[in-house]
Amino acid sequence: MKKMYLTKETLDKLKQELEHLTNVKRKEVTARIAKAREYGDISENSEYDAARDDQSFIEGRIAELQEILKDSKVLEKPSSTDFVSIGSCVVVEVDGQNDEFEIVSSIEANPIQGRISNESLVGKALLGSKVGDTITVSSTIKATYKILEIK
Amino acid sequence: MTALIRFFNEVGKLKFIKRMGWILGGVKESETESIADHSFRLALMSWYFADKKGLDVGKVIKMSLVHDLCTIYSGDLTPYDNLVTGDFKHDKAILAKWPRRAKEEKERMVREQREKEEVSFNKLLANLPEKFAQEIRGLWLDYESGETKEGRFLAQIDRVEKLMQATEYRANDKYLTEIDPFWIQLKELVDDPDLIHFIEAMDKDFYQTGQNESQATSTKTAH
Repeated sequence: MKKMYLTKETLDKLKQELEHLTNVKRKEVTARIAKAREYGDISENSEYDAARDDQSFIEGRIAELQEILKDSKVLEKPSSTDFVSIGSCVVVEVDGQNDEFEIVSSIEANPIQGRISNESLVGKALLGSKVGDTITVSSTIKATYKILEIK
Repeated sequence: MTALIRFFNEVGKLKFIKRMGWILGGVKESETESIADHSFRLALMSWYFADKKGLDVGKVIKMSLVHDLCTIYSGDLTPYDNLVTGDFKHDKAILAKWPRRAKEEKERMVREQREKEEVSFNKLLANLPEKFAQEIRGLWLDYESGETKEGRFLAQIDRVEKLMQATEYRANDKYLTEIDPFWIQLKELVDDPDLIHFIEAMDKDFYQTGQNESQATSTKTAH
């Protein structure tokens, strides 16, 4: 997995979630499974099935969080606004309109809220650009972005 | 059991709730897909692509099925809602571009939409068995906030499905404005390499291989 840069806030949130899942939820679900077994035949035991489903979800999420945290580094606020980097807020002109993006890692991306991934075609193309540059993302329909401001 | 019957009655309404963006773009209401139509193909697409990536296929399929449930009460909302007038001649120029907004404005709109959708979910899930209701709510929140890999991935496939529908309506002269905004939007929204590759293949298919004409012909024949 590639190194991922996450804001301190996101990293702390993910660490807290992992701690809660590992120290609280995992124990709870293990206890539920043990109790459900006491009800007898597990082949027709809906509480047992439900607890196993929850266990599967919890373990999947723990594995996902461990993987993310292993490969993540804290993203410092960019020290320079001379060029676009991960963490920059960029004001662009596109299609005759102004738009504003924050360039973030994939797991923090939420384009509808203005946070676009550094691995999207536009995110990649914007990285390293300076105010006044124009970048074009090509395909049959071209998208052209003029960088107006880097914050 | 009555609560479950009522829930499935309500969900059945999605067969008749139209995807409003197409109607704004000139597609006749009778030919406009429903929310259920969209969710059906999204589920199939998410199955294929999630499996290819080793994600939890069952989860993404379930998420596809529930991601638009709230439209039963909130209606289908589009990013053009506060920009268009309903007069197609006037709206055509607006629809030809993806609406751009300041970051604070985008965040405010998402917050307001989330609040409406929360109200819808509370109403819809109120009397369901707790485990079922909790799972539906959890899947929807995951999709909305992109909490897990599956949630983030489905949000991207959702847009690809929409692009596919746009190409089909456009090829058959049903959507009456350019579909450039759908292509441009995906360059910002999608970061998954498999999906980017698929979109490139769709681009080639739509613009370079004459698929446009063949789709139009086959549909006209079928009617």
